[in-house]
Amino acid sequence: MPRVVFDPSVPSIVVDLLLEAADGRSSLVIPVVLDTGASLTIVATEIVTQLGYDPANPELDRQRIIMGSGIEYAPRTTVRSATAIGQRVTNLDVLCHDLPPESGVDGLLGLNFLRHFKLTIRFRKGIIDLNRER
Amino acid sequence: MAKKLLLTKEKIKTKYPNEWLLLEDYELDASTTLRKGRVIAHSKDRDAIHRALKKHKGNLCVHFTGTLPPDTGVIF
Repeated sequence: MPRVVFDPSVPSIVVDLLLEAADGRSSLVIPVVLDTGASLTIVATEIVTQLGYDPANPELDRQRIIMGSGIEYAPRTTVRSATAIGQRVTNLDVLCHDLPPESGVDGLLGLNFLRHFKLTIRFRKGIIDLNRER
Repeated sequence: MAKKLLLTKEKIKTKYPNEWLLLEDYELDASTTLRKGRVIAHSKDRDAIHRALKKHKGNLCVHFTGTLPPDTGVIF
């Protein structure tokens, strides 16, 4: 059963996200915040570029996003696969957007990934379970 | 040049506190959590690690060993 243990005293929950490159030949793991308040998964522009995708492609849709700091627009692309907390989603849409370095992460794991599964967060014990619904 | 040692996540955190790291030859557990890796770049500056990414190919891992100060809130 995919399970991540986290420190319940930390201000936010950080997990590792494994992203598959555009050519399917390599992958990159980045730290992301688990964010059930984010409708979409966000990945830093530099990371998306490194994986062989093209966030600067003018043909990409630009998604309107409402953030704590206001409304912004970010290019949206599709990664071949994304894996976190032991679960994999193929053809996942991600927004290319940079979060402040002080956040300690390179993105957010949002609902478009999490809603594929049954997510259980036990805050007092610091345990996350992510399972496929039967 | 000799390859850097393969270190556990705990040893990496002790050796490179509050730093951004770039790792190769990394291992993840069944929950996609980093277990160990070989540090090929480290910096207090995230942009330096993003720049280092461009010089390497293959399966890589970006990792941050710091934590937010307890009195800091996060809202995106």
